[in-house]
Amino acid sequence: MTPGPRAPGRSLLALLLLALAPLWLSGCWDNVDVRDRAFVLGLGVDLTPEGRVEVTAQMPRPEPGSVSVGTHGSVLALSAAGTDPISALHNLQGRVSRTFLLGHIKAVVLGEPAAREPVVVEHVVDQVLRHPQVDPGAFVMVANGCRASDVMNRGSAEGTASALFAGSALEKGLLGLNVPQSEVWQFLRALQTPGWEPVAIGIRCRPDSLEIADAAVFKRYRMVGWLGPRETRGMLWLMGEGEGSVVEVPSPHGLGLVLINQVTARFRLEPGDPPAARAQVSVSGQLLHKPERLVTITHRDLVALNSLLARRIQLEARLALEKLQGVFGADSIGLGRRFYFTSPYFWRGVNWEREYPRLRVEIVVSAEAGRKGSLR
Amino acid sequence: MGRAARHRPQQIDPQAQEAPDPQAGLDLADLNGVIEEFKRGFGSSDDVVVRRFFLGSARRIRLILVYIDGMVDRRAVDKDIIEPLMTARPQGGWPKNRSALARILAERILPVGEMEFASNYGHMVRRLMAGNSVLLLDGFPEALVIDTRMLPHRQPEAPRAEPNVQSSFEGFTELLRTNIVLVRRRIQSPNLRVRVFSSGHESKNQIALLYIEGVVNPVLVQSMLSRIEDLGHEAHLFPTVTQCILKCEARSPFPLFRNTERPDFASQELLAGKLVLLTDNSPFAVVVPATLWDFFRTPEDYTRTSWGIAFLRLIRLLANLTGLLLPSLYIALLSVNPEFLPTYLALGILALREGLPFPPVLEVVLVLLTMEILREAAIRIPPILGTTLGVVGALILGLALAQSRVVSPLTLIVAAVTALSQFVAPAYEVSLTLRLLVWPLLASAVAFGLFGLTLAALIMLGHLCTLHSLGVPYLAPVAPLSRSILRDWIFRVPVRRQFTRPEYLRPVSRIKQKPPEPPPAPSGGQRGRPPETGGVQGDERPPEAGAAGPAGAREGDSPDPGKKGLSRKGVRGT
Repeated sequence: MTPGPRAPGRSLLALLLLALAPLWLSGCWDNVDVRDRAFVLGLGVDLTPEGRVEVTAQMPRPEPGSVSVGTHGSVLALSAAGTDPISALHNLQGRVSRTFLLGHIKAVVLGEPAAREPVVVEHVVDQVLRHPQVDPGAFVMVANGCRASDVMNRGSAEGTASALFAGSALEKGLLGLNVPQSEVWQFLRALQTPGWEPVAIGIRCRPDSLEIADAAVFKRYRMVGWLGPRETRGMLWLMGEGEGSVVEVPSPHGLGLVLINQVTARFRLEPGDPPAARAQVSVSGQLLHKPERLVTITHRDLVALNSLLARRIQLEARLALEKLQGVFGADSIGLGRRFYFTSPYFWRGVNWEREYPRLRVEIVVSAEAGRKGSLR
Repeated sequence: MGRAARHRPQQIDPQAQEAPDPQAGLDLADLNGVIEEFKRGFGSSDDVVVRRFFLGSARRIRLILVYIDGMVDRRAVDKDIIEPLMTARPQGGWPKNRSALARILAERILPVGEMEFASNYGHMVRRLMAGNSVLLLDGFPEALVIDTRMLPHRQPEAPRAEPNVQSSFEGFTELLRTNIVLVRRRIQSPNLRVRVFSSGHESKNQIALLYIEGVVNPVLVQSMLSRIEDLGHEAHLFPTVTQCILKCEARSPFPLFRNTERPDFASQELLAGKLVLLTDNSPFAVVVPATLWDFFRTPEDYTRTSWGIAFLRLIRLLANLTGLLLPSLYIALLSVNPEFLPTYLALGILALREGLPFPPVLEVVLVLLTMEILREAAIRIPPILGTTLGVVGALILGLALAQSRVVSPLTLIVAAVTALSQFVAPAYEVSLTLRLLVWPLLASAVAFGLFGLTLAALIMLGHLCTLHSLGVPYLAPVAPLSRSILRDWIFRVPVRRQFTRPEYLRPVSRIKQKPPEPPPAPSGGQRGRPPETGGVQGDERPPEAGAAGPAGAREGDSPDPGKKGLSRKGVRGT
């Protein structure tokens, strides 16, 4: 049977609906020209002595034909206070002739007092981190020993704007940074997942530069404390991260340096009362610098060094775990999440807040460091 | 022999011959009446020459020779027509019967290659206007139409619109007969059919339809013939308007037929199973059906390696996409969705745009319009002033725009890359289509950013899917997907491995070339080969060894191994 002629009205109607459908979306009528945009590169959130929230926005300085794009001199930081971050941002908007565009934010930096205030963090999460313009790949940081506005007003040692420095260094995963990857999406996911607490990256103000170091531990919407460099790296070992770290191995023959190339962490969970877990951390790396007093290195020396390396890594992991379990009670590694996924029946009947500090974790480390060149 | 070897139109204007002729009743035997009719019909046209003379020395048989000055070979008229007729003295004298006399003139006296009899005035005038000479014999009711055409034309030159590096430097001319010869020279096959039609009430312009019988799908030929028969206006006075044969051109901005100036490309398409239309007075052939991908192919594609061609075709496709989408993408990213730009690039653009007076949309529109004006000016400007245009366009305008900070340098770069990319397509008509489509895409990008651009691109893709060129899907062989997609699409298998013609053309003969025969089985140690045939080859093989295996049998039974080897080599080397 041959199909009959198509009604011309139907295709016309479909075409009309298709043409009209985008009118409900945003379009050229509410478009802001690029000349009227202020590209916010970094956002700092502080708490004022009066208890108000102060927001500092770092944005490019309007300079015709500027060639020094992204340098500290090419950006400016403006601050304004409000009852919450969004009202502070609105107040700040009143002082700037251009509309803020949050799509290029590289780092959201919280001052430590603000990070320790759950209401402020909750507002930051709801109003900034969940803002539709904010890139989920931006980094969440906490200023260590200074205000967030100080971070925004400072440049890196080579003169890069602070937000771009932080974004660039963390995106590239520079060697030896030893900080957890805490992007916006990871921070939000940790907040939403049972048995997992978020962490943020620490950033310190030096007299003339900035330094990325340490990790800020959160318990829900409140920062509970800092992990030092060794503890931060210990946490990374347990997370199966930390590639690019350089570990010092003290041996009877002197100090050896090992560059870690690969880290894996596997957990075997034992639900019970109290629950237990066994962490199997495997590390492989490259011996950068042999102990000074070893003239030549033999296979037996290398085995001994590997043993010392494993012990060192185990120690750092143990330090991190003890602090997270004993001091903060914050499951930043996400052990509870693993129980939640692997033993849902156990998870249903357990109070993880109470059980987590009691959790027995056995840490087993196997390390294998190789060496370029010949072995005797 | 020269003129005798000329192509003779096989079919000329059947409709016009059937049409009622107002002078049908005019007796061609009455020379005075014919001359009166000429005077009435041609008025004061001084280029119509009417030469009166007598046959031989006897002054009793009157003749009239009519031709149009400038359209005939004067030497041929004088030496091959007038001189033999005036000096002829038959031994038995001239016969009284005019039909017998006309036959003697045609068969013995006039040493010309082509001749025919025109039985009515209209037919005679049409032949006269085509550049033939007409000889009228007093008392004979028909006119002798003698082919003495020598129309002014230029010699084949290198194609201007389709320049190339490594293929033929011969292009079509404005003379239909020359163009047909250029194709025939490349396809020396008796199966090449040439059907000539004339159209237009006054212009009588000729169209030739070329195809290869036994290769082309007869449905395509019938479809094209029916379209040609539907014509009958002055559509072909302007040569490239032959394209109106494909009636759907007004509904789509995309070209549904490929214009080419190159006889090698036209011949190649004929061999693939397509039709070629040649129009008198036009140096362009129209190749139908055409798919979108045909516009990215050149004859040069078959003179280089497969990898090189794949790379070049990919570049052409990417360049055309760039030419189509780059301005819209630039505007969408800059004006509507700046968050998608890499941060450092965004900051760089922002620094460049600081203090500029116009928004990016206006800048792009201004620069693209300027480019279009420059392009049109470049076509119309006399070649001697081309340098001036370069200086004005590139140096003064470009530098002034950039230095006066009226337009961002990035916008100039985008416009320049767009303009360059649009010229990469081997076919000019695609370049025009791209230039046209840039504007609606730009509008959609301005209105809805990347979303609008995606929507517009999808609508365009949907439209492409609905197009057909003479019944062949426009996106074939990609949509509908054909098994031969990789045979000669972006990637091209080596020519020696292209055994079949495109499926979507439904050719009568799918086999383009026979696959090479398997090589002769090597001697000795061959798995599965009977040991008794091992080590015996060619002529040394005993007759019974030929029965051992099929390959061995073919090789051994060949009466002329040398000829067979040449044939195989020829296939490989094609």
